[in-house]
Amino acid sequence: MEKTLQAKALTKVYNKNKKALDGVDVVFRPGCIYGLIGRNGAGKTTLLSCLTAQANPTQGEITYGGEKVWENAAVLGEICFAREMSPILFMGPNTYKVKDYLRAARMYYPHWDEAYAKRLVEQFGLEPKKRINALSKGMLSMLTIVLAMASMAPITILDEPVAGLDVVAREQFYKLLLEDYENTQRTFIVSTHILEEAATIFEEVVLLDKGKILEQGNTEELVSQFHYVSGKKEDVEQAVEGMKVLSQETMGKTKGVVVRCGAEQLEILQQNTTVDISPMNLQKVFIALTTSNCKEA
Amino acid sequence: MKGTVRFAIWWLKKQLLATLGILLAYFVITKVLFSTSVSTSNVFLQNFGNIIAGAVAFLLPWTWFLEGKHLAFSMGATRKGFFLVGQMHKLPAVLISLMFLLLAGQRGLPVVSGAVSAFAAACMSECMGIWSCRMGRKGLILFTIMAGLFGGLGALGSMGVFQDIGFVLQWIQNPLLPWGSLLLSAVLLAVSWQMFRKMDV
Repeated sequence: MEKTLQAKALTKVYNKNKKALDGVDVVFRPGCIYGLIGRNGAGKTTLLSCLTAQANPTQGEITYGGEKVWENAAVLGEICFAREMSPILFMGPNTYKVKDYLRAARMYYPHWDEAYAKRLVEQFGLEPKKRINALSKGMLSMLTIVLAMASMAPITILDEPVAGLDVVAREQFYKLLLEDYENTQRTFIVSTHILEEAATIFEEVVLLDKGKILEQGNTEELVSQFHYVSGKKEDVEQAVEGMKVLSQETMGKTKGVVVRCGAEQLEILQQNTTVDISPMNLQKVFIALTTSNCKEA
Repeated sequence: MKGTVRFAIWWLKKQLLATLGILLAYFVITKVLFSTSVSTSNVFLQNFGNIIAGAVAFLLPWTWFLEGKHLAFSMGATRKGFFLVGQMHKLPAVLISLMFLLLAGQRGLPVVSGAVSAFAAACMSECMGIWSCRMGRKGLILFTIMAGLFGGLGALGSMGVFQDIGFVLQWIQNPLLPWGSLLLSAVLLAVSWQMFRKMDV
């Protein structure tokens, strides 16, 4: 039986009234690269912390392969959450050396690949004897990537893995991720803000907004539902009549709108020669969805 | 749990080495540098050295506890495993207390009570550490103050520095103290475990 990581009706409340997650239902299937996207404060890290038992949910249940995750050492060994490290003293493993940090990982992760870890440390130019609090932001990201990759955990979660990495290092990471995925077919859940680059990596996407799941599903299928329609104001308004408009902008006599429509509606739309219809990318879809005041045209 | 035990043993080795270093520094400062003459100022310096050494020894488990907690949880440790194993890290603090008591010429009950009160002080500080984690920066400041206070008190009480003052020797020799300390330790452990159980990282 394929093991899935599942959250049911997950709610997390901070300080008695701040709802970070609100009834989240999500399933992560094996052998898939998931993108977890959302604006700052959308609840991404809280969701990932709850999924890995690092935060205690206020309500709801998290299971992996049908077993509860909370206080379950066997299950937790199957999940690796490589999270961003905090620079505050005592609020993270700041005084540990790189080699000590990786040594601890070797003790915890049953599938740990030491040779792979050493190769990645060399590849990224990390100094094993350097203390974590002496690493630059980019180096910290590299260390979390090494941890995630070498853990060989069936569910590997990366929280903002490319934050602080330069464009070359980011490309290296995406390449590494795809190579690893091809070899291991394990599940990756990647939380990121750099959608333009990462969009092609994600097979599935989970979009979180204000603690709720806004969208989840196949990336290509989701993106293909959104189109940018532009042209003369009257023509555009007429063309998108009855369609779901997510955002609109007017510049003089011209107008541009983002619409969500099915295949049939798109066909009708394409027959209209007075307006231009352009496909959208994940980043633009994300912006439209999270800033939308959805209405029917 | 297996990973936590292996991690704890490895970390404890480091702590014990640090404790050994502290003890060595203590001997150098108090027994070698100030051994030629006995004066009031030297006694003060010796005691001051004791307090610093004791406080540092007490601080070691907290460092493990706070930094190790983040690392261990992020790598899949369970709370129960980490908490149970975390108590192992009181060992250097207890060892250093015992050492001070024996060096102060104490034997029997005061030695036991000193070690137990040292353990209680370490547990109390752990409780403070847990609160501080939940209270952010303010908590960290409070934690530092409380750690210093309890570390200092634990060190003072355990090494017999109060003998110079006179009244605490009586306190240390109270036959009820070991039981009181044990009870206090149990209460503090129960409270800290309850807080730890639901803690977010």
